[in-house]
Amino acid sequence: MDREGPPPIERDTSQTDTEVGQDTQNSNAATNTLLAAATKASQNNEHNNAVVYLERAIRIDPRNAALWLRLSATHLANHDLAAANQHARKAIALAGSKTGSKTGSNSELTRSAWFQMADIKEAEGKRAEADSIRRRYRRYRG
Amino acid sequence: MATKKRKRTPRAKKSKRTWFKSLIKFGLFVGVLIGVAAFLIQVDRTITKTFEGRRWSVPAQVFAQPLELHQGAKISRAELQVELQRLGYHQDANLPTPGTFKTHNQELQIYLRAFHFMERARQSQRLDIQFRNNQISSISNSQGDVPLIRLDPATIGSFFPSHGEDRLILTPESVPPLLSEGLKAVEDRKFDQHVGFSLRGMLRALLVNLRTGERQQGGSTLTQQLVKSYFLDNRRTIERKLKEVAMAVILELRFTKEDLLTAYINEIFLGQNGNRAIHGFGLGAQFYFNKPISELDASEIATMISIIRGPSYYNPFRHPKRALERRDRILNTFHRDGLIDKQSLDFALAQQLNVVASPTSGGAYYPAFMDKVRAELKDQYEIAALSSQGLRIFTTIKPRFQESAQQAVSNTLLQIEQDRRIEAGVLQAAAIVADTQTGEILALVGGRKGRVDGFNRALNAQRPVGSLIKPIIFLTAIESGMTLADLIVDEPITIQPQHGEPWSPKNFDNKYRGELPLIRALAESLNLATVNLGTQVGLPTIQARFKSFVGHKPNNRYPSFFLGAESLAPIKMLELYGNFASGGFRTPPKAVIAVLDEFGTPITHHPFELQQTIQSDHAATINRALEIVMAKGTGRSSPFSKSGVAGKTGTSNDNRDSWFAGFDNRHVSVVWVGRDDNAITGLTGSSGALRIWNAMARSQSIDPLVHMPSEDLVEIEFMTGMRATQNCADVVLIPVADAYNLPIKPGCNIRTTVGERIKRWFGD
Repeated sequence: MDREGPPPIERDTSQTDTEVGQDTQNSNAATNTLLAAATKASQNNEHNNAVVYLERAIRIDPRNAALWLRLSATHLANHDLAAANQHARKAIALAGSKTGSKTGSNSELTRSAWFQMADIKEAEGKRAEADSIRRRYRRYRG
Repeated sequence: MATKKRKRTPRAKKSKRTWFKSLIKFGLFVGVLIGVAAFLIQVDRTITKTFEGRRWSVPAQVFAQPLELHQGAKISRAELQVELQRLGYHQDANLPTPGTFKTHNQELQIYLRAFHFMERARQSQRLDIQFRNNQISSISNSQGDVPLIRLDPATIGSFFPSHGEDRLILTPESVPPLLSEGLKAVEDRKFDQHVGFSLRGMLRALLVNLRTGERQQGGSTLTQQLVKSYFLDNRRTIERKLKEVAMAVILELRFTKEDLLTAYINEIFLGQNGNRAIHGFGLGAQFYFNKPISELDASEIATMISIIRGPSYYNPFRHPKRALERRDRILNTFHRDGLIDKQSLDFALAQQLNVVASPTSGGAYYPAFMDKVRAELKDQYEIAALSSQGLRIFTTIKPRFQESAQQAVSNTLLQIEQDRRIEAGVLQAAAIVADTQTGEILALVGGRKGRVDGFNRALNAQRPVGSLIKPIIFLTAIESGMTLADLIVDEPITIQPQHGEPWSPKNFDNKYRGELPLIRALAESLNLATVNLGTQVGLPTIQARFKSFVGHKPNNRYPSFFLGAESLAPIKMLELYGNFASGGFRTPPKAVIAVLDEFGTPITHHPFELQQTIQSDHAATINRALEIVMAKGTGRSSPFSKSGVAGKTGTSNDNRDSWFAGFDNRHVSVVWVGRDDNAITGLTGSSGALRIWNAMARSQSIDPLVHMPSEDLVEIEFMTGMRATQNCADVVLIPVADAYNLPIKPGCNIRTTVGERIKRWFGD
């Protein structure tokens, strides 16, 4: 079964997505409300509040890779690289396990997560590693 | 000179004497004045300091996780109703105040209370919730659809100081007018006029007491009662009385009537609950009625006022008749003084006492979980700060899980004792439930009696974990390149360490089974196969993995570690299994989410903590294996064994400790059963701990594990590890990367593809 998580971070998160898995569907409107609140908090530089909103969203839908990825992005914005790194790994693990093998529509989310990982590596000063990840996932289709 | 001397008249002498006398008198007067002033200064300093100190000394309050309501949330109307009642909401068709609800078919209307959450304050509001198929289908308020909203969280405890005084501070604005006016009407009619004491009141009390020969009346003003309650001294001496009056007068001079009345309302002793003294009406309302003071009706306010005179004599739990009579007298006083009208009086008189069922059910207190909260905060906060600064602590516990886990422990232990003819009450247990992805603790049971603040086995009982350790050995084997279909030998082994005795482990049935696949060795928890595998993989590698999962090295550096000769507390086992349950991340079990100061400003936030420890595909493989342990192995007696759960049983030497660790998609739990004196119980993991887990699963329901896609799984025969199908053998589905290399069970008629055959010829 193919499952698609909520929209990846580049898109407007206040819109609900279509064709989502059971758990995600059950709570999509709820988590989108929190995503919107987190976005607003991030825009106001209230990173801690953004973390509080996103963690609340994850408590509602704990296996939603897109939420973990957003949380990673928030930690990255807050210069907490260790947390950003681990949360991105979590997003990658969940994006992979939802569709099982590396096929299906979750490949987009996996790709976003790896690109974020590249940003984190870059922030850690690991330029070569970041470039290598970007090269590997530039044309990633799963 | 001499004449001058002679000139001194007796009169002059007399006058000098008088002058001298006056001087002495004056001196005495000044002395007394200084003495009185010193006394007053000292009294002033004492009482003012005490008053100011008490006024702001507020124990930290601890909150549970609030219930999230949104469309699609899996909760039925009846279940939500139970949650509301747990929070002290009551049914009222008119929804007159926050804290009420009403139901109609598949609809629930709630007048939600206001609450100051971690990140923002939420106003009270009326909600309309619709249900369909045991789920919420829509939520709306006066402004339209509500995508997400929380119930107010349960208060689950407070860090009251060691002297035991617990309180919940009310501000003057939050005191219901009927309470303040009612207190004056019953306890101190002249409160608004007097200067701290009432001579008439004291004389009248004296007369009454002299006439009857016993102490009928106290004659104390509210201010005097406040002073008394600060110093908890019941000796009736003139000196003490004088001091009390002086203090009362000083308080009246220094503070407003409103300050004093509020202090009284927050200070007065209203009952005892174990080692916890209930002070003030804020906490009293929680304790006796399980709701905030703002929601008390006239009858309930009268009941609370009635308690002041004698918290044990008028204890509404123990002496309901006495309490009811006094409440009625007080209600009549309310009416006589014009505080309530006739209709309200009649209505209130017709009410029962309506106190919560028992003193322990008012405001759920979970001492075992509170131990974990305390442990997490002890590095950042002084005990004194926790018990006095009015902190607000938000935690992860879900009362519904806590209650059902506690019930599962208490009830199942009784059953096990009955079934196995074990003396009643000797078994003990611990259980912890956490979220698989975040590590947040949802329930923590420290023993069979949940309300008793005793030895916390979940956190502190260090017991040998037995076979619960085995998955680490199998995982390490998988990480070294083996598959669950690979063969190992289950045969006798003797290990001769460099120092010490040779070690010859045995299987539980003293039999051995020869060659068999890894999956069967784990599922049947075979000791010899495990030790052989462990020796092959290497003890140091396995112990390094252990360290990465729980954060410290094992104590036992010998091969007996392979069989779980390593003592750990249940909370550490939970941490270990969290690595598997989360899909390969270490998520230390956590209880505190955030700490806010008394004004609601966050002081510390404890974000999710995770560290990837296992590669995703390896984690998926070991989880698949643990699912087979349930379906076909030592966990198969569970009614949920085939419901999509993973788990492992454990039994220590001579059946002293019975363990179970298990998880589904959402929750990971660990259960321990044993005896405090470490005696033999005769229980195995599956006849003890697993039964408790079954009871927990029954009430918490299973969220089945997300399966690996079927194209990654291969059917192999459980007994032999050969490729087979369910038509020709007893098979299990496991991930094997190079399935084409597996031997095929004769007679199974499995056709391999051309590609597979080519691969097989050329190796990989």
